[in-house]
Amino acid sequence: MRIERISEILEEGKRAFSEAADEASRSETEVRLLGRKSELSEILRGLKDLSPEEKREFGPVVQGARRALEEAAAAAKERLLVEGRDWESERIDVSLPGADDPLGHLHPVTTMIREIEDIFTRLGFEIAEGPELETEFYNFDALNVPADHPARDMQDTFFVESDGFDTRYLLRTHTSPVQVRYMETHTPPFRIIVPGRVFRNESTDASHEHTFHQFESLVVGETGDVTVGHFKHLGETFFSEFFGRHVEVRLRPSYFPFVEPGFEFDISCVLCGGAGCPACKRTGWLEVGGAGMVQQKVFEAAGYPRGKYQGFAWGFGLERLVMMKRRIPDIRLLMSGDLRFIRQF
Amino acid sequence: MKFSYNWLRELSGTTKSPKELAELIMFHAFEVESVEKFPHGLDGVVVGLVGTVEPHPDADRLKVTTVTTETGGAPRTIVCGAPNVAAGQKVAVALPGASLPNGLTIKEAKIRGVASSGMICAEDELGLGSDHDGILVLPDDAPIGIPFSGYVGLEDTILDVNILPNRGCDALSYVGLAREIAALEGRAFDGPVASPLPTQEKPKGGVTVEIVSDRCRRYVGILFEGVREAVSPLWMRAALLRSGLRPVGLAVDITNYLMLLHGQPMHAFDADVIGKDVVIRQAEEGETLSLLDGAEISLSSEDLVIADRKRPIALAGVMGGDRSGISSGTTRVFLEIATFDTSSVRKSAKRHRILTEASYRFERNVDTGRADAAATDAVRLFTELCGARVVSSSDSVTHADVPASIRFSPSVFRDMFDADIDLSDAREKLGYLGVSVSEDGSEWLATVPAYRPDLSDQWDLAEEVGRMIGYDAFPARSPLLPLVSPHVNASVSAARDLRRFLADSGWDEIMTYSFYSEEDAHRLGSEAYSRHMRLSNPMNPDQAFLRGSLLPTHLRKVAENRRFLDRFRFFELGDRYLIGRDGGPSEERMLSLVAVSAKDEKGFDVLKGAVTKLFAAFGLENVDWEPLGQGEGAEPFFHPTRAARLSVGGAFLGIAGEIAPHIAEAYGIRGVVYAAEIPFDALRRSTGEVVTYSPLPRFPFATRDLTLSVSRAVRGGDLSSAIAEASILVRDVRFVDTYEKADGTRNLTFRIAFGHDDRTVTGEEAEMAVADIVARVGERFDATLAG
Repeated sequence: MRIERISEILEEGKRAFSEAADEASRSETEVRLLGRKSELSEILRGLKDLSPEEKREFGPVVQGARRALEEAAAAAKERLLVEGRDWESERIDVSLPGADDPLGHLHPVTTMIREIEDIFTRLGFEIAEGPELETEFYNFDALNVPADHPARDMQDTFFVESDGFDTRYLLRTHTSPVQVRYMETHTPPFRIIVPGRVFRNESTDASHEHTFHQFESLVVGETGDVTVGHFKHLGETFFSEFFGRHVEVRLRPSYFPFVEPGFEFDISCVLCGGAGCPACKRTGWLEVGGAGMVQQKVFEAAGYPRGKYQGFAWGFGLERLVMMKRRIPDIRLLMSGDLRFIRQF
Repeated sequence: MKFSYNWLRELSGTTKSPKELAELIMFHAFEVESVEKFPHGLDGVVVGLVGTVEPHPDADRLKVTTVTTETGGAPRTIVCGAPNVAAGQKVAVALPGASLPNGLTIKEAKIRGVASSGMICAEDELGLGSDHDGILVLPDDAPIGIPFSGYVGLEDTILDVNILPNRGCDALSYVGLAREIAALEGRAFDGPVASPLPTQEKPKGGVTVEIVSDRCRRYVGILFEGVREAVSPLWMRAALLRSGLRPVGLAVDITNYLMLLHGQPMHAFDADVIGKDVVIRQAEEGETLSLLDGAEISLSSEDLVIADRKRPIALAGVMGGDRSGISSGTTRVFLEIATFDTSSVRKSAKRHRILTEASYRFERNVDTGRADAAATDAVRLFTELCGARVVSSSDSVTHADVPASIRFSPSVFRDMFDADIDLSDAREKLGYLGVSVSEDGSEWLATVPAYRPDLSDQWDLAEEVGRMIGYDAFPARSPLLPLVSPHVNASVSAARDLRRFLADSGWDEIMTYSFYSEEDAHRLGSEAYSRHMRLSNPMNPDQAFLRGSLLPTHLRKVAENRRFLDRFRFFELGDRYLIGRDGGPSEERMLSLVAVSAKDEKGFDVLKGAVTKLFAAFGLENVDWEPLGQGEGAEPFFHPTRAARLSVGGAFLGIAGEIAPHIAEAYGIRGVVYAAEIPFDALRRSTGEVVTYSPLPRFPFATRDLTLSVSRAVRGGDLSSAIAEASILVRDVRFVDTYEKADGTRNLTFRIAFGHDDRTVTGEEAEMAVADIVARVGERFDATLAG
């Protein structure tokens, strides 16, 4: 009999809470059904007078009903808070921009240097650096470009007035001087990369800049351990990683005084895959840079014995790759300091 | 060098098409820059036969001719003004529609009432010379109707081959490139044949040659008489034109033609001008020489000259003098076929800023051997074409080039290319290049001809074999290298972190030139100016100085960006170059931060906040900001009272603050600019010690705001430190606000947190501590509690 009554109280309570239209009526219901003077409280209080068997039978039922009603009361309270609020009066315009805390932008050349460094360091390469203000010795003589040799004309050089200095200084025309600087203090085997700013005394136009960046890679081991085939492999590995697709390397004979043999290296066109397109002038190949097996005279300049070691060096200009990747039509934009340009990247 | 395909084919025996030949050269020898039809501009010009020549009815100087331009075709009427036109001549006829090299387009026209269908051409109109005295008359056997360009040999393809300095000795010549082509195609090449010079030395009336400088290795001198100076035959002019040289006259054309063929520069002197004695010597300092191009040069004792008894007549290997040059009246020619020292020619050419075909070749080495064949051809051509006779000849040699020997192990091929190379094939290939190989046990002994001075060791020979096989033949292989953990370059890593941090904090990265103007250097102050370095060969005066600071260029960039943006901040991490304390050049990587703030922002606060955060990111806390001041300690680019010298523990960290208004104005900036220049190495001063745990405070702090009124001379930073030290209960002092008052004092408000390690600080304790602080600080700074 009392069990039925408890069910009734519960059903009625649930209905009353769910139907409460405002907090006052909900609160009134709460006092009426759960307050000290409520019927349920009466029943709860009466539980202590029951026999142990009855307690076991009724106790959980009554407690359960009270918890259920308390939950219903809480749910009704939250429902009324949501329903009862004038949300519209609180509306803000979320489409307007946030507080002005803009993200800065890295220079696209910096971004590319990082990408390249990351690939090479994954391959176990060390990053080396050297001065931009370089001596004639490291930039030329040590690299087998003797004074009064026409090979000097291959790189138009900015010379620094060097009266009062112990030797003649210039702005490095390539990153290769770092080869000798590094080798002077290290013994093969090693593999390094050298990124850096270089200079050529050339008039600027949309595709020429007197200040640009090069990337150089040098791998040296015992004679026979580092070969032309290995260079091709590294070239293909690097450029395939870099472009995210399979790239082939093609070597053509060339001449740089600090390598022997010397190569121009092309990569299969990353746009058309070698089929021929405007970017590769329909040849299927893109000219990328120069490379070669390190001249023994360069090893000698670094203090290595002639013939003991063998290695390859290769380098390429970064701006060309940046321009290709970002579709930048004029190289001069890169050194322009124009933030409208920088903020695009 | 521009090479005629036809000429190369004739010499080398290749049967490849121009394109195929270019590919062969490209993948085995040299870069081919272009393969293009020779732009003769003579389409529509054909060989014609003049039938009749009648006077023009209405013009005395004009003639009306009929010319057959098609075998069996009807003759066309052409009005012609040339005095030498005559019936029966074979001539070059530009048909209507043709566009000539001089820009003239031929149309059907009426000339003084007579219809004219085409034009009979003079040499200059055909781009073959300067002669406009009359029409060009062709040999009688010229076939009627064929294209004129083909008839004179201008129907050709030109290969522009980039011969790099190492191969200048042999390959800057048709003989050299033809030898290369034959070798690449697997054929031996029959080089040019030399005959002994025709007459004995020093007969009566001859020229004597004396070499008194070791910078002349060989000097062949041939004296011709009875030279008929004339216009060169068409075939020779066509040959020069196709290789990019301009025909000038027979004697000089012969020397140029033979230079192209053999790579041996020659010079023709008017023998009547130079006299009987020729000496090759060093110039005397200050001697002058006026050159063929009209320039007058003052010689250095480092210059090698050809001289007669009285004076220099040529700058050896570079250019001849104008007085002794060939003229139309020359009948006796002294021909020089010489070999000069490479670096001597190079230095002279550089010193006097003259680059000639001759100096270009001599700089790249010309071996002494090739003068023989060149002299043989010269005698033949002067005899055949100029009707000349040899009077005398001499051959003086101070140093003859001899073949070089290289002893080496053929294992070099495998070491280099990591591939199986057939050694007998390698030997054969070297043979085609003129390198003979004999075996000596397991070693090879290679004999290298003097025209290949670039081959000096085994690696050079390996390259020859490798490129002749073709680099495509060597597969890409993964190297087997020891597993080593690469050394991490701390400087590179720090630069990376720095750039990323700044970009994430809202700074845009720019890159600017390493040069600026002298004015920029001056603005940095006289001390800094004196430490600047200057380029000896700048692009322009605005870029003549190596930057001693990044700021000048950055301020220029501020002005440029201000045109489009009103609020921005950028940075550059780049090197500056100054003469160091030791008197030598020093290069230092600097971080330059530049900010232009909105009007309602406290620009200095923004900058200081950003710089402080940057230092914190690099582990540098409690950086001291010392006011700059004027005079001693001033920084020319910065505002003397709104900028600071930064340091930590006495170590310099840079300068930061407002750019001095007059400097900003000098760079065309209206408004305020904030900047910081921080040595990159300063950011790497943090000891990198591992930070260990400190116990967290267990009891809550009590905070009190304290507003003190002080004179403006009191530095807030000092006040803040003093507060922190005034009571042991102080756990934190934070600056809240400042208020400038009309009486010249100001209020500074600090929020102070009080705490105790073992218990909660009571309100009473906090009040007592505040009173303590007011008492101590008030005494030291003459500060009072603000009302």
